[in-house]
Amino acid sequence: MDCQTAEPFVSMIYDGEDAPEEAVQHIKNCPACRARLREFAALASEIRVLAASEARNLPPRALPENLPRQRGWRFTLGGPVRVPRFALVLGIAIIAGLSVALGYVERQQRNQSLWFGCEFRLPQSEFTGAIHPANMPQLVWSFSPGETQLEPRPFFLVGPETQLGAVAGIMEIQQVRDNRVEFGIRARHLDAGSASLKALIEKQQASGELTVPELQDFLSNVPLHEYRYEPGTVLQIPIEGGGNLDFQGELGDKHSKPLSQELPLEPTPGEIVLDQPALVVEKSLILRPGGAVKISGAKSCAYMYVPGKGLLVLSLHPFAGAHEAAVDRSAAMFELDHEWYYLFAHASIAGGDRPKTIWVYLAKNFQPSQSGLNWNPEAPFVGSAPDVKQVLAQLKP
Amino acid sequence: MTDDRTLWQGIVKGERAAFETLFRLYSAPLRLFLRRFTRCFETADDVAQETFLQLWRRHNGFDPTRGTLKQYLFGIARKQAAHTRKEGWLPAEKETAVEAAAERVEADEHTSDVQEALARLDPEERSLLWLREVEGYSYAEMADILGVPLGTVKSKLFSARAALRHVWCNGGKV
Repeated sequence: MDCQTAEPFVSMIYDGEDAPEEAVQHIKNCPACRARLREFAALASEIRVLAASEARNLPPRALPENLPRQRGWRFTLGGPVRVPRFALVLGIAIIAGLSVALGYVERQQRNQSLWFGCEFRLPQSEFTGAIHPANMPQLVWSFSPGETQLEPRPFFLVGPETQLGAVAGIMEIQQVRDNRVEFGIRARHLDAGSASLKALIEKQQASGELTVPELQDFLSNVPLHEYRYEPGTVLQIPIEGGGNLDFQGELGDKHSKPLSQELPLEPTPGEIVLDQPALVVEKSLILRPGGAVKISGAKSCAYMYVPGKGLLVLSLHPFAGAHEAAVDRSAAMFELDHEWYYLFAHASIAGGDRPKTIWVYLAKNFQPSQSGLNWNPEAPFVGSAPDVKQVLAQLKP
Repeated sequence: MTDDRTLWQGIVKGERAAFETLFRLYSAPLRLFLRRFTRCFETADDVAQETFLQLWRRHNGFDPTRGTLKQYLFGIARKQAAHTRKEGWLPAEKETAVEAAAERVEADEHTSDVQEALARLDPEERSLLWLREVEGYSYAEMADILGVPLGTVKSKLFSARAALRHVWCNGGKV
């Protein structure tokens, strides 16, 4: 089966409806169809958030004081019988819809652009706290085959301030050849509490992200480390000023997504996935931490830092202080302190039963600084920890 | 929690309290659905009101063994909205007013994008997506509400998603 034949079944599989086994197998193994499935889930999440947003703005309406007189069934027999006339319109719309889809597939096939995505991590041992953002710096370039000297990109990693300081750097891709990526990196360590670190954090908090010109002077004396990189492998990149960065990258085409964005379409019963979650509280508050995280295992937990609300911790199993939440595909709902919370994500949140019960806990008034994180308290984030107890221990005053 | 059967029996007996419960439970989701279907807030609210009143006046069509009261209500509303559109109760100038009103809805950047993308779909496509993603109706329930065969729901929902995705892609969001 090819993508064109399988495409109509993507929608049915997304809705949990039965589809031919051949289509199921194709979609399971085809990056393009899997990407389509993920896009449908993302669109569903956006529609639900829109519904919550509109419900918030709905002006009240009341029934009229005087209701009309009720009529019995006898009076309706003589009424007009409406014949559905939209069959033709429906057929045209289906043909139009299919044409649109087919046109898209054709365009996709013509436009074979590539991407290289990579992420940087400070060695895990450097983290002293259980709570930290999962969305570590990730750089993604899109380019055409044969293109060289891609635009340089900056990166900036902030670890627990008291322990590590930060690392800032610039990465430049020279070319991609024979499935190898040739690039250079300059990276420099910034001491905790230093004026340079303070200045960069201020710039980052003001503009959201640092730019290459902002880092160029700062990195002018830092040697360029050059590599001919095999995608998928882990590199240790020396940092000027001490230590190494863990680097991992991946090369792909338009039918796949970079790195951690490639989350499971349907989590197993032992997994929770939060992909681009949006939180709606009593239809009155909408927050989008962004990022994505996956957890597996009995003890592990995922969490979302929601400025003004606290840290929302989610686990597959009950833990001290947790409440039940019902998950159905990419939506979860739960009640905390007489308020209803709705969590909408771009992919299924939990696998197995529908609805499935997971456990949530809201640590009110949590501040990132509590975890030793040098993090803008107004910026939400998602993350995960291997043991929920570690997180709870860190939440104690 | 009032069950459908009890609520319906109350309405058939002419009990205003039962009717008010029905209105309180389903008025907001029905108005949101109709706003999506008609793209005119004023028309949507009028159709919603007329749907409730129609159900009150002619309380003879609901069969609890065939589906929920909410599903029945959505079915009447959809027919009522289609009839309204056919009879031209929605003047062209109102369409513009709709878009202006939609822009005034407080929404973040993402919801504005999806709102705009949805607005470009035809009413049936918008309705299907809304019924599925917001109201969580099954394919069979949607077929009942829209009065179309199950196969049509499957193909139409796919084309609606493909079309929405296409519009959204062109906006640079996917």
